[in-house]
Amino acid sequence: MDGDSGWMMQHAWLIPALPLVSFAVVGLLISPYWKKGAGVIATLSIVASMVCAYVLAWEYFTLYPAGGEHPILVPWSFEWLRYQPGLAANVGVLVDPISLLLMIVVTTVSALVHIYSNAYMHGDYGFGRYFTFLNLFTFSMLGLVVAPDIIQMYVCWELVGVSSFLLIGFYYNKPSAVAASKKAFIVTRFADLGFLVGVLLLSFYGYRIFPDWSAEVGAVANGLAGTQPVDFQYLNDPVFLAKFAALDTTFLGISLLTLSMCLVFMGAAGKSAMFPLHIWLPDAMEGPTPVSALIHAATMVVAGVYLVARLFPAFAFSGTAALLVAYVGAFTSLFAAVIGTTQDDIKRVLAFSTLSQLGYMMLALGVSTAEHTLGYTASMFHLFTHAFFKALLFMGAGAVIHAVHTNSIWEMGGLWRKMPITHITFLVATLAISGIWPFAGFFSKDEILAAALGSGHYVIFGVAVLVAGLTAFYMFRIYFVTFWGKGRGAGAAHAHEAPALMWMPMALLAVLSAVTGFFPMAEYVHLGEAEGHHGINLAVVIPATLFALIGIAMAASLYIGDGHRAVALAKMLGSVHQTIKQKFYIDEVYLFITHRIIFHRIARPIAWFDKRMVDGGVDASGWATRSGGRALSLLQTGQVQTYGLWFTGGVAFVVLILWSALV
Amino acid sequence: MSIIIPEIIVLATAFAILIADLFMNERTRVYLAPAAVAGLLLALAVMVVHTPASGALIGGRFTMDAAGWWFKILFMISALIAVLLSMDTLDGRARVRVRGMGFRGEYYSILLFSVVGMMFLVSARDLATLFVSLELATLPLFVLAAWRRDDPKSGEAGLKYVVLGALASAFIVYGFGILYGLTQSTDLETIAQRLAGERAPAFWLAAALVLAGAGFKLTIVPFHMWAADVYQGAPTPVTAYLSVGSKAAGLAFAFQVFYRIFGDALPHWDMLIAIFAALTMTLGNLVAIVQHDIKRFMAFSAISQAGYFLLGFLGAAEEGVPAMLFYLLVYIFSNLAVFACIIWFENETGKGQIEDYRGLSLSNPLMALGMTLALFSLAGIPPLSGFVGKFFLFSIASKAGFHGLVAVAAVNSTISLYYYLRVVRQMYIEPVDERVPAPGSSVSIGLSLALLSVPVAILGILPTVYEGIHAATIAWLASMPQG
Amino acid sequence: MISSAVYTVMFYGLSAAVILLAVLAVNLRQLLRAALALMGMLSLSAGLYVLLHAEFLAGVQVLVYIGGIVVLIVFAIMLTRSSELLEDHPRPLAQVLGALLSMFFLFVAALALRDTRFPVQVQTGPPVDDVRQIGLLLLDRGATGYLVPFELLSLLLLVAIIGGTVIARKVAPPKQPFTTGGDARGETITESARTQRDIVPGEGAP
Repeated sequence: MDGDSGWMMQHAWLIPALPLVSFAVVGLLISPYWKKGAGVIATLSIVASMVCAYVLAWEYFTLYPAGGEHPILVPWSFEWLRYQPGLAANVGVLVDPISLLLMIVVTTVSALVHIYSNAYMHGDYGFGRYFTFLNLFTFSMLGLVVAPDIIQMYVCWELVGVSSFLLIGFYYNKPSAVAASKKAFIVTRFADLGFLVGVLLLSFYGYRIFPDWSAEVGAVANGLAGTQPVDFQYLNDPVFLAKFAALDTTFLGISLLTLSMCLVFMGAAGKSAMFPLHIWLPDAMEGPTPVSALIHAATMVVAGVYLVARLFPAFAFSGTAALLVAYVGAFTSLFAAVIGTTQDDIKRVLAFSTLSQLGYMMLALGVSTAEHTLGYTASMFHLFTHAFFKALLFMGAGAVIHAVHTNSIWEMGGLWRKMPITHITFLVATLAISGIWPFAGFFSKDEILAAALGSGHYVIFGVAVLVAGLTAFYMFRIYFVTFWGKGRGAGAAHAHEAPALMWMPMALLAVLSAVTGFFPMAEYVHLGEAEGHHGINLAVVIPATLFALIGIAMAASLYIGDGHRAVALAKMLGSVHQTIKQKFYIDEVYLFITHRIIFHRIARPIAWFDKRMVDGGVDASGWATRSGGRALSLLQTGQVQTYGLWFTGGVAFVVLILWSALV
Repeated sequence: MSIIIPEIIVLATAFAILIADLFMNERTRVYLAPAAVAGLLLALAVMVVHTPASGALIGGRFTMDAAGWWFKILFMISALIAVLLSMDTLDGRARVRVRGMGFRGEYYSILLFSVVGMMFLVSARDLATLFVSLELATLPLFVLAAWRRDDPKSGEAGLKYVVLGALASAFIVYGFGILYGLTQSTDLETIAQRLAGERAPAFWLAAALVLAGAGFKLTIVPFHMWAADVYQGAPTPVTAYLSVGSKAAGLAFAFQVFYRIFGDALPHWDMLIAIFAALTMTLGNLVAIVQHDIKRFMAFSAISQAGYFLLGFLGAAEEGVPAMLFYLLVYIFSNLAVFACIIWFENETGKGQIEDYRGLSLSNPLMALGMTLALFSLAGIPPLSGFVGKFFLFSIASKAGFHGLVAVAAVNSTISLYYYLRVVRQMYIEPVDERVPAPGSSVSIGLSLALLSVPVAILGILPTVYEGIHAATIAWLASMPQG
Repeated sequence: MISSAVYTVMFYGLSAAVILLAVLAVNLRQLLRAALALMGMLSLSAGLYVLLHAEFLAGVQVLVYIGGIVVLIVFAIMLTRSSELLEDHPRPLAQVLGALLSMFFLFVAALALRDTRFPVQVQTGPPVDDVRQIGLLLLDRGATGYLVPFELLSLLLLVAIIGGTVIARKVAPPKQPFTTGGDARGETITESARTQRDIVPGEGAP
């Protein structure tokens, strides 16, 4: 480590540690006794962590200024578990531009959501529990972001999944919430199975190749002696990748590198809700709205994108895996945007829009290659801006729901007069996500489109432009229906502005959504040579903006007023509209597969076996254990003579064993 | 000369307390415990700051080595905490007075004598010193177990302990006698050299006798029978000290015997050790399940933990020794933390059944938390220190090829989790018993629990301690006579 | 010098007598007789030491064990009321098992010792200055001395004295029968050697 690295750099562990400590303290000591304190302490810890993240970023970029070389540092780590010599899992903090970016996003959004939640959850049953889980989530997410090796990443990955599960099912007396939390957990766990196999493949072959690699790159001489076979720095090393890809072993004709990257991507797709594993995210909206803002919009769902970015050199080396990422991303973004145009629940629209934007980020990563890395920057840029405007959209939706006590946009309307601040901030975010200049989304989306065009993926470029138009359409659809026109429901009549604790974080996010687009991301986040911010590329800007404006215009013509034109259009489209509204019946397909095939043909017999054989066995073993204990406790007669007898018997036994080994 | 100073300080404290007690009245005797604490702290400080990790005195009859350094630190810490935990009971600060716990001066001084015995045990280099210091370490425990003279259970515990202890000592002496006969020497190094390659039947007899003696101290099945009755009957602070001090001394004795005398033959005993380990953890765990008295419960828990220790004797010493020492450290902290809560609860309510702990998380959340943490550590739940300790031990057994044994150990860990959780369930899930007045607090016990909980929580995460132990034992093994 | 044959006969005769007296000391019902058997066993062991040329040890044996310990035991028996031994007899099964195990252990030990060739130290004549040598060894600070165990022994004796006085001090008898195994379930167990056995639910007090 450099001697002149700053204090924060050496104490970078504080960033995830603060929420962890607060989680333990709040969960165990405070929340049962002092509800209000739980919120305050949880919030303060996240704010402190946020400050630390800012200081860390400042120190890093002072050390390595923008536009220059940005090395990967591991300023703090220790060996946690040594499996065998040469294979150990470290726990540590990895600092590089993208981990800093994520740290800033996570801590900032989390801090704002914490503040917002103090008002939103006020008086709710389980207030303390809520903040405990929120802290647990923030810790896990930060632990994931700073992971220097794939093992820590995996552990935190699962922790993130658990806290998401806990928060989706937060209202545990609501059956739909419980069902949604189970769905989310099962779908992501299924995806994680792929991830786990990928991790095992990577670490197994990483361990096998490690000695060769170490000899070839002169690990000891180059100060890489402490590297472990599961470290990202090693897994992304071109020498290792070349050796791994050149292995003779293949699986169904795919190289092991591609196979393991595809498996890792399966995990990423689960967490980032890529088609066809996207089905859990819309249902996850059953959780409290601030949770949706934090976990299911800004942070956790981008973990998959982050994972792909973290292993980007490996994906790019494989090529095939990167293409898979690109096409899955592109398809998801189009698919989700189409569904988004027909949904009536405001949070569901936002959920589908999140899917669509995540697809954007994935496709940007997928189209970039080792030489053409603009997509990598663009993806991270979009992640950054999206976190702010999407969190803002959810918070705005939360404020609206809080005020009108319904999720259906058709029971809202005319809210702009009653909730002016919410209205303005929501409008800013809507403009940002639609990609209108000069809001943040314009710049990041522009860069993604440029990357797709520049890498020669014209189909993907076309899809992305189309999605830009669709995004503008469905976003303005809910905007017009919610805020314009006349109040339609009983709730809408009595709506009132959100309290200050809620609108202040929203205002702050609105400012961020408006200005972060001007941030010169390419100077900070890049691979290899920094590609200068390419300025305005008219071939990209004109179609994108044109489509967005068309989308807005269509939304305006259909939904300003009483919406009879929309109804007429829906009727005209008939079954097409119905299909889209039912989300292409994907859920029904899953239901069919799971219920008819898995449950009936497979699960029932297994359940029978489980109940009769396994449960019986477990019960029997518990019974046997207890009665064994009882029987053995009879030996303890309380008589010294008996004890002496046992002792002597033991000695005789030892002599016999030793002697029999001898004679 | 400096290597013996900690022993001299502890000894001087013991004598000072014994003599001062003569001139004090009941009121001033409350200063005896702080004096004992001060003496132990001074000795600890000298040990840490001043004492080198190697050296020899009196013609090599008293030596210091790196592993011994750790052992001595652990003995003194155990005694220190034991004094802190005894204070309330002996000074009459307990809300429910424990009757018949007088003679503070004698109590603390013979507790310290026992520590001196343990410290000489690890420094011994001949059979005579080894045996006499082992007796000096355990004789005070017999007396302490019988300290509550108005409680027949305590007297019974003392008597059982002394009779069975004498039996074990007799076996050890017999074994030592045969060893002397085989080698004509009492010097451990000479014995090891002359025994190298020795395969006479009497050698195995001697080994079996000495093994049984070590097994008695370590509570290895079937030499464990005394533990449950003595733990239950002895005054609770004494039980606390017994559960860690006696076990630490037993392990130190086992190290002396296994690595210094039988180092050459140890690899051939793998099977025997594996059988004992499996028996010990299984029996301890199974019987612990059906217990209701928390002290008796902890006795069987301690027996099962002894089985985990044995895993460290399998395989290479370079890995086994540090793993065992580390687990001893973890075990001492976790077990003493549990006992701190038990003693406190008994002082405050006079009760000691597992069911009596119901609702403790509401009446005193901090104590309940400390106890939960310690129980989880004993059960080996990550990331607490107990998990890492067990992980090291299990990995040694698995590397030595005893996969079946590791499976047994893992199953046992699961069983133990069940019964440790029984206590936690009482504290956290069962409703509080309204008839019992809410327990108050205690400075000395709260302090010791706080001191213990921190290492229980972080030892597993901080690698420094384990690395220190590892380095120490490597140095120690290098100093072994090469038989 | 005693001829070797006589020596052997004496050794085995003495040993047999020691064993017989030891068995008697354990099994006699009258405490005083048991104490006398113990005394006889200890004095005959002193005879064994003499045969082995350990005259000093024999002297110590007589002085400490016979002159001190056994006399003390006899005093204690005289001063207490009951001379009849009240013993909780072990179950027959335990007795048989105990006998078998002890025999087995004896057999194994005898076999092991018979099959081992101990390096015999050749002793030409009785050692001169036996006591002086022992005294010097006990206080020798060199590599062959026993200063450390000697000093530790003094501590051991001190602890024994303290422990003895503490335990022996007079104490009021407990006011009521004590309970074991759970006041929660209200099981009261009267005094017996089995107070601490594990309580098996459903079985009740033994």
